Amino acid sequence: MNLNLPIYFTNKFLFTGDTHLVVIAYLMFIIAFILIVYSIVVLGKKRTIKKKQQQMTSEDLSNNAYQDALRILDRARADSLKILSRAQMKAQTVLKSTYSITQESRRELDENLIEIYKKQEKSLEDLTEELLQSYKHAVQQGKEDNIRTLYEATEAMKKEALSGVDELKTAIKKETLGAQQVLEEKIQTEYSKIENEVDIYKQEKIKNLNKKIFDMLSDIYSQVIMQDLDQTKHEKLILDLLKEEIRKSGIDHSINSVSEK
Amino acid sequence: MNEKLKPEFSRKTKDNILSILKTKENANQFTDFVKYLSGKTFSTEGFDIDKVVAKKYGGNIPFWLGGIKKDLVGNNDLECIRNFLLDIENIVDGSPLVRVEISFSPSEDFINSLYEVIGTLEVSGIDKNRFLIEFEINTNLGGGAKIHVGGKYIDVSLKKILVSYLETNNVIKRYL
Repeated sequence: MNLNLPIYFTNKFLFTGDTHLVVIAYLMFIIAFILIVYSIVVLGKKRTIKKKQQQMTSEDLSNNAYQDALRILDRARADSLKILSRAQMKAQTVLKSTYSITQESRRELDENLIEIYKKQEKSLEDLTEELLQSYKHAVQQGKEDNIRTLYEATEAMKKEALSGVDELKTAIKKETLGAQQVLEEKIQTEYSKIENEVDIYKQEKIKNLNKKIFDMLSDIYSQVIMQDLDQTKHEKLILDLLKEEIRKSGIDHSINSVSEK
Repeated sequence: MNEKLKPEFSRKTKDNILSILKTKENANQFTDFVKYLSGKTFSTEGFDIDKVVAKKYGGNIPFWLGGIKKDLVGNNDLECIRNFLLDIENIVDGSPLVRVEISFSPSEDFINSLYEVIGTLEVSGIDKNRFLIEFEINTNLGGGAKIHVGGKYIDVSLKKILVSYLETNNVIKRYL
């Protein structure tokens, strides 16, 4: 509830009642002082003017004027005192009334405050409740979002891992097959190489064995033949063999028949 | 060439001395004789080829002596004789050798025949009838011979012939 003092009890701006009355009292004093000063100054000026106008006259005039001035001054003084006292009284009256107004308004103010406080408390409680609810809701929402996100992330990672595993399996399979192939080829190559070497060795061995056999056989045959050969036949044999060899090799000038014994 | 010797004989002797000697063994004997003969040309008793030969060889005169004697008989120019002998000696010492490895001591006929056959070869360093044969007796050779002539090697040993025959006819596969 607002009083009819316009600017003071509003929702925006609050003064205490005492302060207001004091201000009014001070204003009254100031007004009174101003009036006093005014009267002194104005009267003074009038006096000065009169003094100037009646300067040329005689001393009586001046004395009368002085007397008038004094009377005016006294009257001004008295008026100012009256005004002052009047103002003071009024101020006291105002102060008294404001004191009672202050009590009243304080009481109303307190009641209003209490009501406002209660309202504020209620609205605060409502707000708090609302905030709590929205926070709970947000938390719940957040939790659900987190769970969903976590689930989605887990699923994505699982998918990623599985695809990675598949890729790895494919790569390993490919590499293994490739390595197996390479190894097979290598083994085949080595086997062929070794087979060739064994064949060569076998051939070499057989050749050596054959040579030994031939040597043995030729030794045997030589011994057998030599038993039947005398020197003449032997010499004839040598000459015949030499001629045959020369003919085969083609290193002769011409082959003449050799006279034999 | 020595003009005071009989020129046709001395030239012929020099051309044919190697074909007369044929073997290194004969050439060594010849060289000994030539040195001996050269020594005798310095003798104060005079030079008589027949006496020298008889003294050296008695009745066993080498066959190759005939050719030289023809050139030296009736010749009293000892200087000429010495030069001739020196020429022949140089020819013999510088002659190319053909090495023949056999398992027996060859007969003269064999040597003659072999010399003729080798003379037919077209091998560098070997001129027809201008070489000597050096025989090397190797009893382990068995039958046949091995001949080293002018950097070439001719193997006509019995073993080689037999081995070649056995290999050619693939005896092992066929019979063993």
